[in-house]
Amino acid sequence: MTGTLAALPRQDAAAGTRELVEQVARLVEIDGALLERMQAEALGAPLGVVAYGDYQSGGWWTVSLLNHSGDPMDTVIGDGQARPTSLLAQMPATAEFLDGLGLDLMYVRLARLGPNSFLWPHRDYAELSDTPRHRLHVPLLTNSSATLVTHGTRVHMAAGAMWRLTPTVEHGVCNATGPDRLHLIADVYADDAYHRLASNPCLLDDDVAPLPELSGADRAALLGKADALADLGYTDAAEQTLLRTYFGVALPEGGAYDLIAELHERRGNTAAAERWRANRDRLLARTADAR
Amino acid sequence: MTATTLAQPSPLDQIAAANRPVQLTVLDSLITALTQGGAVTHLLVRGSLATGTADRLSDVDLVIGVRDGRLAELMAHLDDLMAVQFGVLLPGWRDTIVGPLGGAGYVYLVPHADRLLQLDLYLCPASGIERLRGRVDARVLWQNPDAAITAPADRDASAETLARFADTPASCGQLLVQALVLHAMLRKRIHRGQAFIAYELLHLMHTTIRDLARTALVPHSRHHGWYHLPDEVGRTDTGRNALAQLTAALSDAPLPNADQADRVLNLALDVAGQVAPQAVAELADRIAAYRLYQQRENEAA
Repeated sequence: MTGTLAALPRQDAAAGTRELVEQVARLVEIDGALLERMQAEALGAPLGVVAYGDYQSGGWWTVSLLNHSGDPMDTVIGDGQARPTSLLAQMPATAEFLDGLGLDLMYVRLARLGPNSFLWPHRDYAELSDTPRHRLHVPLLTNSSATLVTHGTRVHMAAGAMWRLTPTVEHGVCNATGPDRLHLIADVYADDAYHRLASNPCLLDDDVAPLPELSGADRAALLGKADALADLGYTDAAEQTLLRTYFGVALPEGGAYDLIAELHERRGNTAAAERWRANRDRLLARTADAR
Repeated sequence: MTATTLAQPSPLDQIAAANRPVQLTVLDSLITALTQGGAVTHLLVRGSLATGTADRLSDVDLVIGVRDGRLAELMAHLDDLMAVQFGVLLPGWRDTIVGPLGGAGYVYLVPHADRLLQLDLYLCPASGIERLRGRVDARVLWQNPDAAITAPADRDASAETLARFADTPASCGQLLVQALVLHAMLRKRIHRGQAFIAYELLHLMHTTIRDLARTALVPHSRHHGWYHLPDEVGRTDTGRNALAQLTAALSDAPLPNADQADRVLNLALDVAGQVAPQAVAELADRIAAYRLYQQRENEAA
C-alpha cells in the first residue's frame, strides 16, 4: 500500500452484501490532496469520443490515458501491454498515481457521463481472452444520482475511494440529474499486486440501495405510459422510458429489453420486437447456448 | 467526372460556431425531438431568442402548436417526454406568469453544461395559433405541411382540456416545484439587476409558501389570497409556525438580493417539510440536485 492509499476498515458484510461485494466494492481510500490534483488534471483533459454508441443513451465520453496505440482518442479495448498516451504525459499526478499502484495495466481511460445519460444493461470483456482481469474505478467527480445498478441493487461509487467492478455480470450506469460524473477507469490483469490491493473489499451501508420489485400494476402502468408516447409518435422516448426502468426497479436479467420487445409485440411490430431481443443478446454477450 | 470541393467555413464562422449560444443547441434538439410525433403542427420561438437580444442566462421560449384532438394526450405525457429526451430536473411548472394566449404554459429546468437552463414551453391548440401570432412576437421555426383544418369536435375537446387545466388546483408537489422554479427565475433577475421583475418573483415565492401551507392543511378552504389564514391555517401548531415564519419573511426587504432569495427558498422547503413531508420526500433527489447546480453557479460566480 503506497502513502496515497489507505486500507479500509474491515467490514462484516451480510450474506446478500457479500455476493454484491464480489461484483462491486470499495478497495482502498485515496488521499484527498492527490484526488484533488487528479480531478484538476481530468477536468482540463479533452472530452474524448462517444464510443460504444449502442451501449449508451449518448453522453458517455471516453479518452484514453494508457492504450496500445498511444493515441488518446483511440478507445478500443484490447489485450496486451498498454503504453501511455500523449494525454497522460500532460497529467503528472495521474501518471504518478497509476505508476505507484504497481499493477499490470491493460487499459486506462477517463470516462465522463453527462446529466440524463445512461449506459444500458450490458456485460463487458466478452470479446477478450479468458485471462483474469478486473476493472478499477476512481471517481473524480460525482453526484448522488450517478449510480451503477447490478443484481437489482443501486450502488453509488462515492469519491475518495478506489472501487472494483466485475463487469462480466449484467450492469448499467446512469447519471440521472447531473452534474457530470467523471471517473478514472483502469482495466488491470489479476496478479499479486492486484490481489494485495483488493484484499479487503467492502461496501458501506450508504453505498447500496436495493431496488423495489416491479409489481404487476406498475408494469402495466409503465407499458401504458410507453404505449402512449409511441402513440404520439415518440417511439424513441417510449423505448428509453422502458430501458430506464432498469435503474429504478429490480428486473430479471435482460428484463428492460424484454419490456421493449413486449411493447412492440403489442403494437404489432414484430420486427422491432425481434430487433430488441437481438440487442439484448448482443449487449449481454449471450451465446446461442445461453439463449 | 468532376470533383467538387466543399467551401470551408471562414475562421470567423468557425469562431461563431464555437461560441454558439447553448440556447440554440437546445432549441435545435427540441425541434428534432418534437417534430418526430404527428401531434405537433407548429414550432415558434418567442422572447429574446426571437428578437436577437438573448444573453447566456436567457431562457428558451417555444410555442408548440398541437392538433386540437391530441392536445390532452400531449399535455398528459409532456413531462414524460421532457424527462426522457431532455433530462429535465423537475416536472414542468404550470406557468402562471405567461399571459393568456389560448393555451397552457410549462416551465422546465434543463441541466446543460453544469448549469440549469430555463425552458418555457407553451402548448397551443393548432386552431389558436394564428390568434396567438397576432398577440405576441413569435417566429415560425417549423410547420407541419400536413396540418389539417381543425374539426369542430376537436376544437371543443381542446377548449375543454384547457379549461380543466386552468381549474385544477396545484398539489403540494406542484407547489414545491413552483418554489424551485421561481427561485431559479428570481436568481437570474437579481443577477441581471431587474428590480421590478425580482420584486414580483419574490412576491410569488411568498404566495407559494402561503399556498403550500393552505393546500396541505386546509385542502378544502373556501377562501383565497391572503384572507382568513390565521383562522384556517393557524388552527394547528404546524400552521401557526408556518405563518410565523412567513410573516418574518414578509418583513424582509421587498427588493431581494441572492442571499434573500436563497433564504426564501429554504423557508419554502422548511414549511413544505412541516406541512407536506411526503411531497418533499418524493422530490428529495431532485431538490438535492437543484441545490448542487446552485452551488456550482455560486462557485462559478
